[in-house]
Order: sequence, then C-alpha cells, then structure tokens
Amino acid sequence: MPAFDATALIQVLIGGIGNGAVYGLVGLGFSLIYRSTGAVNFAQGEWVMLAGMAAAAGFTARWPLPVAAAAALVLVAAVGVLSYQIGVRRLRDPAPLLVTMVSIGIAIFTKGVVMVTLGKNPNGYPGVFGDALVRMGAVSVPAQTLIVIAACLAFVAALHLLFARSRIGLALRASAADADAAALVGIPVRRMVMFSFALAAAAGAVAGLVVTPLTLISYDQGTMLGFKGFSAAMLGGIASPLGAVAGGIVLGALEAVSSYQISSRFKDAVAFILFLLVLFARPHGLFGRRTGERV
Amino acid sequence: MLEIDGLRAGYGTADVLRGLDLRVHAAECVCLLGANGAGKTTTMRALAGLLPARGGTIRLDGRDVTRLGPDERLAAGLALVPEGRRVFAGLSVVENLAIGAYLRADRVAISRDRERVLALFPRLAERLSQDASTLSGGEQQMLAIARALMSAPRVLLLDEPSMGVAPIVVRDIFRTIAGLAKDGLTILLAEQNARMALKVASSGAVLSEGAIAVRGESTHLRADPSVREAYLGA
Repeated sequence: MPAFDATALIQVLIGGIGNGAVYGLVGLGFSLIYRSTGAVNFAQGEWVMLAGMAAAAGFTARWPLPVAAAAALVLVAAVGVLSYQIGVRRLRDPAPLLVTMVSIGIAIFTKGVVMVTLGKNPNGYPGVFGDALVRMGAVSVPAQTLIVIAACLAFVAALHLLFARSRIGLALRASAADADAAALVGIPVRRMVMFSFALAAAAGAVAGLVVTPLTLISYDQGTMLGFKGFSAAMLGGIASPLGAVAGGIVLGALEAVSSYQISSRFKDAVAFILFLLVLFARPHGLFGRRTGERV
Repeated sequence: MLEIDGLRAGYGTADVLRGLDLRVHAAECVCLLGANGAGKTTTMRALAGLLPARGGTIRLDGRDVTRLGPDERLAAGLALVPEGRRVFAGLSVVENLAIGAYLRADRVAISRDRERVLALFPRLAERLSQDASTLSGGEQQMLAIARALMSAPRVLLLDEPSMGVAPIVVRDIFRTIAGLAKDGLTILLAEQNARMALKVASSGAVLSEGAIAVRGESTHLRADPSVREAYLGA
C-alpha cells in the first residue's frame, strides 16, 4: 500500500468521478427503460460500445470528429428505437421479465453485428483537447476526464428540463407513473415507451462517445459497461434517473479509491460487492423510494 | 348519445360481459348498479377502450367507436374516471390537471376550464403544487374527476367514485356530480352505493351476470322492493 498522498488521492478521485459519470449515464439509461417498462435492459451497455465503435469507424474514414460523433449518436438512438420496434412493440403482453429476456437477445445480436462489421480490434479517436492535462495546483487531470463529467452533467440537466418543462416530458412521467391512466388522458403510451428507448440509447451513446478517447473501445466491452451502469442504477435506485447518476459517481469514486489504496485488480469487484450489498440491505437503492405493490 | 349493443368483454377465456345493451341519452345521468363482480368496472374499461370488446358495438352520437383506442375515444368525447382514482404519483396537482388536457391545443379554453374545475373543487386549488400521491383519498378522487373534466368530455364515465373515500367527502363528491349533471353533462356512473347513486342519477340500470337485468327511472328503482332485495342489498 502506498504512503498517504493527498494530491495523488485527489487525482485518483477525479479520475474515478469521471468513470463514475460514465456509469451514471449508463445507469440513467437503465432507469429510463425500467420506469417505462419495468424491465432491465441488458442491451444498454452494447449501445455505449456501439456509439464508441461507430464514431471511431467514422473517424478512421476521415470524417471530421464532430460529424462522426453526431452520426454515432443518431445511429445509436435509431438502434434504440429499432430495438423497441422489433423486440418489444410486437409482444402481445410486454411483461417486464419478457422484455428483459428480449433485451438479452438484442444485446447479443448487437455485439455480434458490431464484431462482424467493425472488427475485433480496439478502436478510438483523440479527445476534444487531445491528451492535454489540466493543472489545478499540484493536481493534474486529463482534460477529457473533465469533458466526460461535463457531458454527464449537461445530459442530466437537459433531461431534467425535458421532464419538468415540456409537454412530452410530462407525458413520459405520467406514462411511467401509471400506463393505464396515461392512456385514459389520451397519451400514446407505446410511443412514450419508444421515446424512452431513444432517450436511454442516447444516454448510453453520450457515455460511449466521451469515454472512448480515454479507454479505447472494442466490441466486447459493452457487457462490463452495462454491468457497471446497472450497478450504478441499483445503487442509486433504479426507479430514479438522478439517483442512477449519483449511484454511478459513488461507484466510480469507490472503485478508483479502492484500486489506488488496495489493488487495481480489485477494481471490478467493487461494483459486484456494492451490487450485492444494495440487494441485501436497500433493494430500492440509496436514493430511491420504497415502492409498494399497487392493488 | 351513447349506445351500447350486445357488448361482450372479459379477461382470459371468460366473458364477464355477455351481451350488454344500454342507452345513455344526451344530458342524462345514468347509474350502473350491481353487486361486486357483476361487471361494472369491466363495462367501464371496455367503454374507455382499455379492454377490447369481443363483440357488440359502442356508438357515440351514431359513430362506431368499438375498435378505437383509448386516446381516440377520449378525442371523440368519452372520458373515464377510473376505479381507484389512478392519479399520477410524482406529478403535482396542477400537472395532473395539465395532462388531463393532453389532447387539446386551445390554450385559452384550457386555462378557462382549469379555473372552472378548481372552482368546482376548491380543495384542489389549495394544493396545486402538492404531489398528487400525498392527497387524501377524497382529494385524489376530486383530482381524478377534475383531470377527466380537463379533456372537455361529452360523456363522463365514473367508476366507483365513492370507493376508499371518507363518507362525509363522498357526499361532497356526489353533490358535485349532481351539479355537473344539472349543467347538462352526460354521465354514466358505476357505483356500488346504490342509495347515493340513485339520488344523483335520473335513471338506473342494474347489471347482473354480465347483462342489464333491470332498467328504469331512479324513483321507480328506489321504490321497487323486488329490485332492492334482489340487486341492491336491501
């Protein structure tokens, strides 16, 4: 164990919060689909991976980076809508367990298609400021880490505005609260579920786009990203989008500190351990409300 | 105005409604009575489009709405206040009212209607920014009715508005329903509390085994001992 070093610890912590912002965005995606369908969407992590892979492919094909990133974002949102249309909309009775199982199929399919079309090699592209470091006193962190955190906050703020201020946001909240009652006030509930899939995919895509310059991405990384995001959502309370983001940041910070203080081999285990602790002690999450079964 | 002919609907393999016929004329308030499990809620859900009809027709002003979805039926003027209120938790009172007018675009008329329903239920006006799930049962019922009125319906379907509401508040709510009926709103009221329902409704229909067993004026139904014994529980 290294000697205590405050500067290094802060640096590690900021890096961890950066990872946590990614987990939080992925967790946000889990939360959005959980709220609208009651299901756990196992394709969420694949959407993160797809965004990074698609943007990297665009970059390799000499597209300007903003164009490649925007195209990847649109592509992934479209894949989210398509996943709903093909996998979920046709179900006669879209029970949560059934939707969850369908999402596993979508995840495996997405991963396979990416492997076949974009290859097995890790891909990437430079960050907005390249490999520049930002110095704050003795602490220096990659500029891209701050971009990751900013992107997460911006997405959350935009989503909050959408939910609080817009007509469609109100309709999304009403559909999530009570689908039958939403249908009775004239809300097209299925379209709202489809819209949730698009938003969840977009959240995953933003995560994938900003993290790829830091870590590179390959076709098989979606599963672990998905699991981290799911842990984040469970930690914060999967029914609460903001809770999921907070859960992600807590998870990222704990991961970073434990791998710094104990061992980096321990890093991925943190999410598993936290996940189990939450299931045992607080199944509705740190920030979620306990919800009873409606009769 | 509302014409139901041979309506069949149900869950799983069982039909709950086995050929229900009912007419509700314009500006009429009809109550639908019947024991628990007679099919009152099934009727209401089938009329609102939450439950597909397996047979028969539902017509609103002569237009066949049997195959329409809930949103299209609402647009046609058929609004249901569901059993158990079903207000939107996590949305404030004022947001619940706003979402009630989801299909409407006429801002001026919407805000006029909001003033109107708040005058109808002054207790809601005191709780505009409160989360709907924190209201009392009676207040939630008022909100559910107000939300349905925000769609400017031509026929209001009310499913058990007295359920889970304190008796003293039930009287308030029924007085408001009577007021709406007097103002000319067409109402179909499913209710287990026959005594209260027959007081506000001009006529009633008794549902038994998935069909209308008795239909008549409220005064007649109230007076008829055989009806009271057989269907209304004394």
